[in-house]
Amino acid sequence: MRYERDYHGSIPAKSLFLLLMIVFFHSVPLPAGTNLLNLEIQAVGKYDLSNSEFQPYSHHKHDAMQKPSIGFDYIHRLRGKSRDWGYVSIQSRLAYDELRENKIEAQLYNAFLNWKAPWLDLWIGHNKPALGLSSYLDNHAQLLIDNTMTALNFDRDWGVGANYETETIDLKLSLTTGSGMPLYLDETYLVSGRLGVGDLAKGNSTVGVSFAAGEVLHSMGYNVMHGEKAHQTMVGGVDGSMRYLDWETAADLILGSYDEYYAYTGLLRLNHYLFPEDRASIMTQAQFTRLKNVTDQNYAVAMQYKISPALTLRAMYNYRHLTENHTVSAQLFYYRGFIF
Amino acid sequence: MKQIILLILALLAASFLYGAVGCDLNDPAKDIKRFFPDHTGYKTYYRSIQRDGGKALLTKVETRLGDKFTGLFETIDVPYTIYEVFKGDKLIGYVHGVNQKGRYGGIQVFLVLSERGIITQLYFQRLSSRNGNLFKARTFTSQFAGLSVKDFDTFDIVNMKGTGKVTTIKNPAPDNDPDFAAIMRGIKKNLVLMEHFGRWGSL
Repeated sequence: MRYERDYHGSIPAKSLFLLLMIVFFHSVPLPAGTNLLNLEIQAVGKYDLSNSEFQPYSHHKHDAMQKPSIGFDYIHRLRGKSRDWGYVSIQSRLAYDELRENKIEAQLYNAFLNWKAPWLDLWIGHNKPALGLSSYLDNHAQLLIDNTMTALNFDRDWGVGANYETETIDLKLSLTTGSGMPLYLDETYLVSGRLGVGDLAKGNSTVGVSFAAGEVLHSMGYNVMHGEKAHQTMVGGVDGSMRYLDWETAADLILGSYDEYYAYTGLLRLNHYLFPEDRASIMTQAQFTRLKNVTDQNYAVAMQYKISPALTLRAMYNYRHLTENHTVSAQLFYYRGFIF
Repeated sequence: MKQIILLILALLAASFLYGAVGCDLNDPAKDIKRFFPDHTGYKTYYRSIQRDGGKALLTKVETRLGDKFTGLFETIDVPYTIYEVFKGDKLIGYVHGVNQKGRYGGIQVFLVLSERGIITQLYFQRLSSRNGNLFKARTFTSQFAGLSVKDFDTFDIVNMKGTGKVTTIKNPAPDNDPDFAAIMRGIKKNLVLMEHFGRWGSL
C-alpha cells in the first residue's frame, strides 16, 4: 500500500497549513502549560560557483532539508491523574519547492507518540531510526550534510521503536518501513539498533555501535529513486561525539552491503565554539561515501552565529568531489517557543 | 526568488522578538528515578516569565536575584520546564533546570527540591569546564542540600559576597575558576524562579 502517490508521499499542503494555524492560534491562557510549540522560519539558498547558478536549497533539489520554509515543532504531554504517561511530537514544514506545480512541499519530520512504559520508552509513528549518530544528534537546522543524506540511513522513517536507558547504557531499537519520509507499506522494512555508552550532555562524550538490515528504498525527501526498487542492505556502524571546553568533534561510520555491493558512508566533524554562550562556531567536516562502486567525498567549512536568541545565521562552503562542484550556502533560521 | 526575499525580510523583522531555548532533562524518567527512588510518577509543565506576568514579573525576579537578565539564555520568554514529582497523589518534590552562561558554553544547573522549595540535590546536566570533576563531586554539590532561596537572599551573586550559610561554600577549583560564580548565580536564579513556579510560590 502506498500513501498519497499524487503528492509523492507528502501530506496535502493545505491540510497541513490549516493544522498549523489551528495549533498555533488555539492557545488557552492557562497558568501552567502542557504544550510547547516552537515556530520555525528559514530562508536558505546556495550559489554554485562552478556554473554561477543560484539555487533555492542548500544541498540537493530533491532533499527535504534545507529549503526556504515555515514550520513548527510541537510537543504535547499526555498525563493521567498523577503522572505523565507519554507525549506526542509533531515537527513539520511548508517548504518552497520550485519543482512542484504549486511551489509548496508539505514536509513531516516528527510525527510520533511516545509511551513511557514501566521499563522503557516505546514510540510509534515517524521518528529517527536507531542507527548511528543521527539517532541522537539533531541535524534539523544545520547546513552540514550528514549520513542520512546517503542511501544507508534515514533522517526519519515510519514504524515503531523502543528506548531503554540505564545510568551507563542507552539501547535503541526500531522496526521501520525503510522508506524514509514517504509512507510505503509494500515489501520494504528496516530493522536497526544502537547501543551507546555515555552521554554527550552529561559526560561530554558518547560512543555507540549500530546495526541495520532490511530492504529499503532510496528516497530523497518525498522522491523515491531507482523506480521505487527495494535495495537489500545490511550494515554495521560506529559513532562517537566528544566535547572538550570549546571544541566538539563527531564521527559516524556506517558500512556493509547495499544490493550485495560493498558500501559505506563516514563523516568526521570538528566544531570550535566562539564567544560566551557558544554564540558562534566554526565547523569543518569531511564525508566519504561509496555506493555501488561509486565513491564520493564532500568537504565543508561552515560557520554559525546567533544574531539573537531566536535568530541564527549560518553559512557553508562545500566541495563535492564527484561532480567537482564548489558551492556556498547561506541560511537565516528563526526559532521561537510558545507555551500554552 | 521573491519568496526567499520576503522570508529574509520577515526574519529580520522577527529577529527583534525574543526567543530562547529552555533547559529540560534529557532523560527525565531515568534522572527522576535517581533523584526520587520512591516516586510513582511525575508531571511536566512549561512556564515562562512573559506568560506568567511579563515585565512586572521579570522585574521582581531580577530584584530578588540581584542582577539583570542578559544574554541568549535569559530572555523574558524562555520556556522553563518544571517536573512535579509524585508518590501516589502526593506531591513530593520538584526538578527544575536553568541555563547559565559559563566559561565554555552554557551550564545546565538542575535543582532537586522538596515540596517547599528546599534543595535536596544539585545536578549539572551539562558542564564543560577544566574543573568539571571538582564541581560535579559530591563534596561540592552536597553543600547545597538544605539551602533555600532565603539563604541566597543574603548573598550578592554579582560581587560574590554576603552573609549566612552560602558564604561557607568555597570554590573547589584551584585557579579561581569563574565557573564557580556562574554556578552560584545559576543556583540562585533557579531558586528565585521556583519561588514563582512552585506551588508554594511567594513571588
